[in-house]
Amino acid sequence: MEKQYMKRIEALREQYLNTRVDMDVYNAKYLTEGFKETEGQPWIIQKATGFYRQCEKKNIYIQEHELLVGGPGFKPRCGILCADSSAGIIAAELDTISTRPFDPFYLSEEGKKVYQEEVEDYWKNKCLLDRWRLLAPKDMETLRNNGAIFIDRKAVRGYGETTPSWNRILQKGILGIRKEAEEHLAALDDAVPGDLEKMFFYKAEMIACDGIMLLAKRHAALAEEQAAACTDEARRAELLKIAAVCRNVPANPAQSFHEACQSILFYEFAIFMEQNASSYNLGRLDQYLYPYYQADKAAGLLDDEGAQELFDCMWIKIAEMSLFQDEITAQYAAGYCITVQTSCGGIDQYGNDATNELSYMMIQATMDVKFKEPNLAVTYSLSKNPDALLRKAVEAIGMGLTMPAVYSNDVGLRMMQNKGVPLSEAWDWNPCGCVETNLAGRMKQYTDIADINLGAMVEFALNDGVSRITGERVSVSTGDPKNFKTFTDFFNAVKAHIDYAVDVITSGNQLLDYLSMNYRTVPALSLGFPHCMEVGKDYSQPGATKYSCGGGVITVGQADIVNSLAAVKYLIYDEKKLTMEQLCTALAADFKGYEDVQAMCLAAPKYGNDDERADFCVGEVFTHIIDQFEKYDTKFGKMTCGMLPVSGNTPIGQWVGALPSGRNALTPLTDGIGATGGTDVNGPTALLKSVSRIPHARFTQGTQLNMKVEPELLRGNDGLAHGMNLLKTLCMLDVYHAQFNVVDRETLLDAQQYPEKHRDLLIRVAGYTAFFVELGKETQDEIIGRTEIGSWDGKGCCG
Amino acid sequence: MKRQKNGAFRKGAHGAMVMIDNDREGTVLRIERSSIHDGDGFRTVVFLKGCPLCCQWCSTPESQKFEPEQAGETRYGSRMKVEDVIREIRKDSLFFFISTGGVTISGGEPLAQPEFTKAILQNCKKECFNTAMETTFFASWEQISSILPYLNTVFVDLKLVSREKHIAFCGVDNEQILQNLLHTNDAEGNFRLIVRTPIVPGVNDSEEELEKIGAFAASLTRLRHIQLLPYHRLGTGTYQKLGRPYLLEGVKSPSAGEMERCRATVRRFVENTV
Repeated sequence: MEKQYMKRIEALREQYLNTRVDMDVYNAKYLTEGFKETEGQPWIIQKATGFYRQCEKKNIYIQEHELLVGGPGFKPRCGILCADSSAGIIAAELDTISTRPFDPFYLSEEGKKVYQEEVEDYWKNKCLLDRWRLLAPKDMETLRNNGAIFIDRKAVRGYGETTPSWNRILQKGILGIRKEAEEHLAALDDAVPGDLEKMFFYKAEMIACDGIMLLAKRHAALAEEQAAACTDEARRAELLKIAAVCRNVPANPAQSFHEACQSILFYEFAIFMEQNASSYNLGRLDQYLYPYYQADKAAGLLDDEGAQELFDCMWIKIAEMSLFQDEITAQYAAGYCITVQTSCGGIDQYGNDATNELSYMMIQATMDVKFKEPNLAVTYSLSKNPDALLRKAVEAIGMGLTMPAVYSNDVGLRMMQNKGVPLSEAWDWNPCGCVETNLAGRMKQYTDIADINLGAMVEFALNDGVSRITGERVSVSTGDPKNFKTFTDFFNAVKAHIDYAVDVITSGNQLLDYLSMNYRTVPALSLGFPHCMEVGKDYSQPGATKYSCGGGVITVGQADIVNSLAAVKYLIYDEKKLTMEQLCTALAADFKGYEDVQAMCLAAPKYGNDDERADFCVGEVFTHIIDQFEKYDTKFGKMTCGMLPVSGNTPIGQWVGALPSGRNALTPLTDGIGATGGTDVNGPTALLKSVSRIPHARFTQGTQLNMKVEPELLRGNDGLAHGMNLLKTLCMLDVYHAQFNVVDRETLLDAQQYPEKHRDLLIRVAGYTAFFVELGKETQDEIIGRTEIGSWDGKGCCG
Repeated sequence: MKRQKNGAFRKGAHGAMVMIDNDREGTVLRIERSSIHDGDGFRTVVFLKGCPLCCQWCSTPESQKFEPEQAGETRYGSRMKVEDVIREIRKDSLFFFISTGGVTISGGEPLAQPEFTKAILQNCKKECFNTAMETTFFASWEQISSILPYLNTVFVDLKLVSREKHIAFCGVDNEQILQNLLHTNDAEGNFRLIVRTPIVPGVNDSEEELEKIGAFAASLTRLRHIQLLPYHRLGTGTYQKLGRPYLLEGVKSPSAGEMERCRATVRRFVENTV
């Protein structure tokens, strides 16, 4: 039976899907105006004034059917150019950005003109990206220009990857926060050293507050205007309700569930307008919103269907945000992904189960809306959360949504501890962005100051620090590989290149920190961090947030480095099937004319099969990497690591020659912490066992596992149990995260038609695992048929 | 206690000290992990190679011959020691624990390598793994009865009750199979007995044959349930690969409706027919 509220949700979905993704340059224009009018004043005042102008002047809209309103751009679904970060970034793309292959953004002729006449020139050598390029250290440039690291991302866009204190926004309101700033300001004495800077900060906070409140009021006025012109009575009532909500929040503490949702959205949009950054997470919404839900329900103002409808509306509003990136950066993280993560489940401050009715509604919202944003997760506590929650999660996964992601709450908690958060607060952690860890309103970090190309580290060890792609010397010299007498000699050479790259990346991080502290102040974001208010410092400054957790670095090519180490050990040192010289000659030729060598490489033991001969080095190599990073301090704490390549494994692969794993030159590296496509032939349990060898809790920016599962595994009631059992075991194995991609019927049909696209698709056949595309037509049909019978059985079960 | 190399004394099923023969070798076709079709939970299925039957619908023809064989680039089967098999099984113990899964010995015919099968199962019991066996029961009762104490579940294939047809389609007489089922019904122990019947159109899907199967199954009082499995053609590619003829060319998988009809017939005799 179709639920009543789904009519609205379907209409909103339709509207969303029919909306083109545009480029917004107007925010940049208003920001620039603000900067110009405050020329010569402290940067933070300039930024706050620019932000205020954005709030004051931006085009606003309320769409048909909407209950929750607002948005960062001049229309729904916009990418925003953040001028102070990287104004120049679209200069070269003005004519192609509308049509480029990854994440095109439509930019009108008028938009181009606005950009060229009112934005571009002002920011030359002034925006952070330009300064970054002017100051970039030479060794960093060399590594970057040879694809061994990718390090411009954080110069292009600001730091997101954080979770503000939503309770602060909801309970104090922006006006309440403004009062705090006012009081602090009044208590300062500009004769005292240091107070002057604090005064700049508090003034900037007040300007930012005024901007956010003004933006909400403008929406209230627009809703009233639309209501006056509306002939449909039901819609008019809705518009008047919207107006009343926007009159009250986010200025004042939220008084209802509806107001709480709208308040969160207004602030979310505001901080996104300020910075065009990914992953301003919604955090643990089931916790923050529960008091409002309970109160409304008790007062008879809200029923579950109403709450669900608002959740669904909120999900669509979040999906409307689109991350603008330049063409190259977009290749590394394609899909307009704003990766705003929100999670349900977990534990409360007493260690008790935190699941409530809203936890289930959040999953239902994703099932209703079926968009990829917000990035929904369950922080599953094996010991405390009910099976019903996990079951609901597996139901959604079984629909092929790939969401929710499931995290081991305990591993997340340990990551927090490794970041220096005591247990008294670590329970409240929330997943951030892709798979990072965060603590609402208390933690600052950069997730991904750089990507480090682990395939290149192997290549350098086998080519004395020279790139096979460019022929340039990129890393340190580790000598002729023929002189490696033992496997340990070779492994040490790989480590030496890792150490060098870590050192260079860290110097890049220090530069970024310097630039951020001076040219990336974020007065709106700072409002969500109570410690900023207490100490009178912007989020961008050391000591501003309660916990500063350094610059994060993403390692890319986990399976590639493991498989390469394993192949070298197995083929050269253990079984002596090849000499180092034979291997290096074949690699240099990209295996052309050395197909026999490649066959041996491909047949060598592979990560993902719970095979000691491959997995022996997993713990050692990743412990080495994180040990190395943790040696370095920054103004914001020790460097950190994560394994979340988003889509960076593909472009990074273009900088790596052939590898001992058998991988050909220029092809993608392996994504996340999974096995290389088509090499994990022992099923999901074996994969998880291999994955559990990674020291997850030390990679505090998270570790991302995308698992392909066959639909058969999750089918019917037994399937729910299988999915739940896999996830429970994942927690027991101390694996941090998993996301299931169900291989659906459509994929199988597509693979039948376009086998070249699905070469690594593995499928179980009568007790063994085979490549789907290599099976005969009849067997393929039979397998596709199985998915059909499955759905029939499923219906039968429900009667 | 005295220990021998690669063997350990422990209490046997009847309280006597027995020695597990860990050095024994057997022919293993393959070991499949995280199977969800061969018993409860996630299971590690040890497929032994070699079967005295040659059912025409067999979906794993590569499991029939007793020796390892080569077909093109694929090698089917290898000789393994009990301890090697156990090392492989142990890897998924956590999954067994969570999912109430375990180990299933399948084939080929596990009872064609009775000592090897027994040693594997004894080891499993030592580590408290849930055990199951998939068998044709084409073996001596002596062999079966020595293995039953180490099993939680035994899945027995009952393909045809008609003797002549069984000889024609499976290559052997079913007399011993039926007798073993009756003995098993009277045996001591807490194991579960489950009978499985593949429904092969034109072979055993007639009302008459189904009634015979049902009636026989109904005489097994300790039977948990009888499971009817639709015939499928997933193995046809392997026949080609092995260069063997596939005798059931043209036979189609039974439809869901057909399966329901068969179940309804058997259910007249055995209520728990799935």
